[in-house]
Amino acid sequence: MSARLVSSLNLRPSTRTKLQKAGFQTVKDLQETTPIELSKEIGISNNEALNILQQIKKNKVTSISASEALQQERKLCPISTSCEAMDQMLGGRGVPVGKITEFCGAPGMGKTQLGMQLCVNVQIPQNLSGPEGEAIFIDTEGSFIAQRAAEIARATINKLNENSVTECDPPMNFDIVMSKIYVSKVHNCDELIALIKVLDEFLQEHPRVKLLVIDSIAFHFRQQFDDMALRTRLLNGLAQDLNKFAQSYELAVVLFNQMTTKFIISGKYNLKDQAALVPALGESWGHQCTNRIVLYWRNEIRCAQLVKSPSLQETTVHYQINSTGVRDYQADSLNSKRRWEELYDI
Amino acid sequence: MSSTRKLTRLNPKLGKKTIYKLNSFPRTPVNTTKELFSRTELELVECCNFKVETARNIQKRAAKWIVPEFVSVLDMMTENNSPFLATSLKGLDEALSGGIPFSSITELVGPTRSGKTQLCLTLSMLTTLPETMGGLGGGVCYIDTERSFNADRLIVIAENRFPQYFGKDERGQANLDKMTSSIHKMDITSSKELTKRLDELQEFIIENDVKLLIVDSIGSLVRKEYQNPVKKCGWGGPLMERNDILLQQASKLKYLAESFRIPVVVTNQVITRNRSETVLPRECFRPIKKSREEGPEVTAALGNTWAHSVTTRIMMNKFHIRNLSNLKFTILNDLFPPNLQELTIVKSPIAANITIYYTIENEGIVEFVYSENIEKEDKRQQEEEIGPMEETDKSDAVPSQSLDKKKRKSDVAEWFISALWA
Amino acid sequence: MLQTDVLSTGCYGIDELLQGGLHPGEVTEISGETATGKTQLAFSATLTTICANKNNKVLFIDTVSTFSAERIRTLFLESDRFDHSRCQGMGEEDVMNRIRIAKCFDVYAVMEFIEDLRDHLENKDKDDNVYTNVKLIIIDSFAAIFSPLLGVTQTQGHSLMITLTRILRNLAKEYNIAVLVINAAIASNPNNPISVFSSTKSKPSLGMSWTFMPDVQLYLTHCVENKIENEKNIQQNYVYTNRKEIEVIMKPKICEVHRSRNGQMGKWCIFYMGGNELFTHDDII
Repeated sequence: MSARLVSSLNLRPSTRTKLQKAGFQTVKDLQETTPIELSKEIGISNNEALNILQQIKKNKVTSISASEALQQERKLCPISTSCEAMDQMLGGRGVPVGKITEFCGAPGMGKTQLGMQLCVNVQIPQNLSGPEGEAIFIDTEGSFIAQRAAEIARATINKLNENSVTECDPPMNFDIVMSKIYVSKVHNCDELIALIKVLDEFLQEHPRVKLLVIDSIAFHFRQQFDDMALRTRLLNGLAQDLNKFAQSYELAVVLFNQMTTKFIISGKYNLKDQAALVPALGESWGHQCTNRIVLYWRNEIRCAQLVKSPSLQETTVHYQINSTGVRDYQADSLNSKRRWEELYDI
Repeated sequence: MSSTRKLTRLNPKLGKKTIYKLNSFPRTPVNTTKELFSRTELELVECCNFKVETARNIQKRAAKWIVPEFVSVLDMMTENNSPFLATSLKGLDEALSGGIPFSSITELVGPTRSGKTQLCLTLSMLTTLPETMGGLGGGVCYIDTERSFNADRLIVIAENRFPQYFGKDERGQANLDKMTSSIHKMDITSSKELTKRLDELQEFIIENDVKLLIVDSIGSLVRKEYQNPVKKCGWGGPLMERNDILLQQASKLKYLAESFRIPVVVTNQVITRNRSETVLPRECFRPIKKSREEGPEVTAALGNTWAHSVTTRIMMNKFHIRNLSNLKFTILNDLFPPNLQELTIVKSPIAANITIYYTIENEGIVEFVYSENIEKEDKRQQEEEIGPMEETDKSDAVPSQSLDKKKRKSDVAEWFISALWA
Repeated sequence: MLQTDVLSTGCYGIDELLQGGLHPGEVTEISGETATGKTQLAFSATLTTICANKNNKVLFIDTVSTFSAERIRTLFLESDRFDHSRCQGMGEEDVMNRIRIAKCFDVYAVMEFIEDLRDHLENKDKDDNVYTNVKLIIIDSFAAIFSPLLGVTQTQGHSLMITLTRILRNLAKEYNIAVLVINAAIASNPNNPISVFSSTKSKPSLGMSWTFMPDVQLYLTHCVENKIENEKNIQQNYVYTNRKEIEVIMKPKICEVHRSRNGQMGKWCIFYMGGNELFTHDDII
């Protein structure tokens, strides 16, 4: 600690200059003084002097060994997506806790519904090997519809009831499930940033919150930004805050991102200009999430492709979205045919 | 926008010194919450010489001031009891669990004459109806950019659909007057004007008790003003500008929809593009037509960025039967009216991707239900006794002469299904 | 300097570019586009270093919570590169205990931690010294902690970055430790002038002043054809290593040397990620 330069301390500029003018080069020089001495010498308040000295004393950051980390990781209970294939893709049991997972997809891929499904699934009780937590849903696009969430919750509870072996009380109560999903609708990116800034208080009040969904991170950041460097900076700051929450409150952070069309101008005469569908918010944002999954259609089947993960293989799985929520893809074309028959009474 | 508040109003007030320091921020003074949140904590510390804690506190206090509250879903559900506007198309209402959702944007996409405006007019009419008749008993704000609003048509729809309520008698005429006077049309000719109007719309909505906001159409203005942005300049420039305008309009519409708890319906055109020449990626959307079908592809205009902004998207199209031979078409012609149209939910947080069929009649848009149609035809045929048998058989030149009528129909239906879903 | 001191990254082609691997006393930067295997390379280097000598320790400073102990364990147990070490009696527990992880989410935390580390290294005689014999320090990622701070309105962010790098460099020189810093990429229009490929559309983040900080700068990109049409290029190939058959998704990636103080700049190689390994062409054939 002693060789650290005073200029690298988290202080306001005027204090920093005062310290340097008074000849304090490294933290070692500071350690030899007392608050009163310091405040008198450089002319700052006693409080501020104490603050400086406390800053150099505290030593919060420690390291742990990988085996301890392994135990910690295993303690965390992932959140199932209700689609077994997708759970498998995400490491066996679902969306990992303590990390940021981003789902990108074109409109109509079922991102919001996936978010609702996760909000319900996070509440599966521990005796059914669920995380038994609460959920926060930050809605920026205005697409959270309570009735749909209720539908998904009912279907999920019914499914659990069918599967539960013990015949005692029902595993989840509908009203309780609905009361444990906290929704906040934000209307512009200032509100979003502000919300993240005060979120730690909410998390302290609600320690059971295990899931934070932002649907979508991109919407407000894609407009009204002339200064792209500023946008990058704000987004990165936001991501870093989210990372901190994910770690310290053991949250699963799930972000939804939009897709945007990127033009690749080849510049060569023999090649056509190309366009590709890429996740929005640009290259630098791509580094911020730990896992990234792209959702897309292929031959009328919904596909989810894991494109980025530090710990898992790149894979593609199928899923479907029906009235009960997110489910495994069933390969029968009868499904749609039956629908037709029901609809038209044939 | 709404949450941009002057920092001087923060309560308890910030010290004069703090305000002064924030004002002296180099290049862009920090006066509002918006400007405050586009600065990082480090910038505040470095540029205004705040203590680290002070900077953090100012941001936290301002954040608490503007942050929207958390509401549990349970409370959300008890708050709004009927958050849907019934469209009178039974299949669509069922799929959307009640109709056009409140507090969000619903987009109708379709080529000309597919009935977008008809549906908008029908919805307007329904909104003005008293609540006892399934309406919302409120006004409608109809923003018309294509001059497609037709008051005569509105009256025709109303009279045909509710002949009793909008009868020829005095009461009916009074009702009609009331209906037409609570639908407010606004003509708008440029996208800038539209953005401006949307800003000013709050007052109008309160004054006229508007319960439905329609923009018909959102795409026409920007598409006229920014023609062929991709071909001309590629990425950047006009296309960015266009997307920016659209996103701004989208977030304004969303804000209105949410704060007034009203449904917002916008219409949009379609573009066709040749499969082989397309530069745009095709996986944006689930293909509406089957991939083996030839010919140009039909998708919604305005691109992907806009598509993200709408909550529900409904595609309206002329009814196509895939790979039809002429022969079979004659059979189907018997069963399906020629003006049949189809309507597909392409994007919705509520519904599955289902398709329903409708026709445009005097009553506006009417859902076409296969079984009802058969019954109708059955009735007609029973009335005409022997005649119809021969008539239908003529059109059917293939083997099925010996089969009885019912069997043939179920065959046709089955074939039809396989054609649709194969 | 003895060749044995150089730490292998576990990927032959990349070692070649680095003239043997990560050199102690130097700061090596790996930057690159998303999902090009930066973190995988770090994991690979971690395990290779740990397995090279039974005293070696690795310190992983994790700022974006990418570290996955489960992944490290799987790599160690399943990859046949480490069969040799396993035969020598290195147990899972032992390996895992020699990797230390520090989770820091802002630059001040990283600085505090590194100063603490220096204190520990100075007092070698302490009994419970967990940091003696640390051979490799990895910071994943540098960009995440600095990019919110770098702005035109103030210079403190830049000066913090320079200070931290200087501290790291001193530490590396004094205690003969290799430092591996992972950095992100940002878009670069129309293309990246330093890259040997004209099609590279991105460059390392953190700006110009950063480019002079590391001794070696590696840059990872996806192969270009891939960017445009993903699906055509994904073929399933099978690679036969000593014993096991590993399924590799053939998505080629390029690693090039952007800057190097002692090696040749502009060299590059193609590598693949698959199974639990990073391969270069030589490994595959």
